Amino acid sequence: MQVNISKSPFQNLLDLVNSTNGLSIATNQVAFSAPTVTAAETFDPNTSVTVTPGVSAGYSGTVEVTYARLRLDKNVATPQTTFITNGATTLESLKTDIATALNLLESEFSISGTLPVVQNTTSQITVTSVLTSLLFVGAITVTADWPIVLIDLATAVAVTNLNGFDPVV
Amino acid sequence: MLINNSFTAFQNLLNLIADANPNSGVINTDQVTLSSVTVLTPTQEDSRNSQITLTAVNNNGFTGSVAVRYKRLDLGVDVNMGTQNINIGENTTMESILNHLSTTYGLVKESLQLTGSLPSSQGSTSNIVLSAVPDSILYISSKNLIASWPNEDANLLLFSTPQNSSTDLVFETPRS
Repeated sequence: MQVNISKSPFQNLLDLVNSTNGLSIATNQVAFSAPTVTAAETFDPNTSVTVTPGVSAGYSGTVEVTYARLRLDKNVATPQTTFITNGATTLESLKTDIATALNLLESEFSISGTLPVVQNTTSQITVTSVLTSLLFVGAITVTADWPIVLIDLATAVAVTNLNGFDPVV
Repeated sequence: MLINNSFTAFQNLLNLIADANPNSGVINTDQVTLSSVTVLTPTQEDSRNSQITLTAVNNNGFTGSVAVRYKRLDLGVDVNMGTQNINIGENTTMESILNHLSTTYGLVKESLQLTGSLPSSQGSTSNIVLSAVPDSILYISSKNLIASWPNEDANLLLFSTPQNSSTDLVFETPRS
């Protein structure tokens, strides 16, 4: 099943548990431990989580489930790795752009690096999943690109019939 | 707007463009190049006598080109110096006259030239011509001037003997 970013990470994992086991466990009936890395991120499975009873009745005991957390660039078929920036871009706004483009939940990753400060430059930004993310794992690098923005002179100089220079009197 | 002689001719033209296009942002001299000036024939309704094309420097903020029309100052008509006479002295040069005219009348020196020769002796005059350099962005035409090297005696006379005054000077007798 696909990660659904309109749901919480907890709900996504619970949906995975339920769909795999033909169950309909409610969110208040179980709790998940922090994820444990069991293999390299490219392996399936690469993560284990311990499921324990929740605040609501219905289950006792614990069980460990294993599954594959997704690499950050695997939640879309064709991941975008270059992001257009400008002078108004901040790391916060870039993070939102990355989340949208890569279909990620902003709570599940952080970004670091320095944005381009002038036109026609690029920089590398590291996107790292948070250690406790139930859905994503690892880190990727994307490019922040502040391209040259050229203004058409004919647009900039809309008034072409200029007032003359004043006479010297 | 008045030409500002602390700026280059190029910058003065960009200032004129900015004055007419206040919301277009600043265009710097390193962002565009200028064509030669094309002469326009002014009409009663439109006194603009010049057209010039700005072309964007590659990848430096702008693209494309645009032609603007404006009026260059006619040195013979639009620059009023009050007098044709320029008094000179022994050490006066064409360069120093050009500096004087630039400073006094707010003219951009790089756009002007002086031709002719200066008087060679006291008490003599000569004709010199202030004209726009070829392809000047700011000026057209020329202005005839007279360089005068006054006779020192004449100068003194002019200074000490205004018209209708007397050369018979008398000290007043102190009152007792």
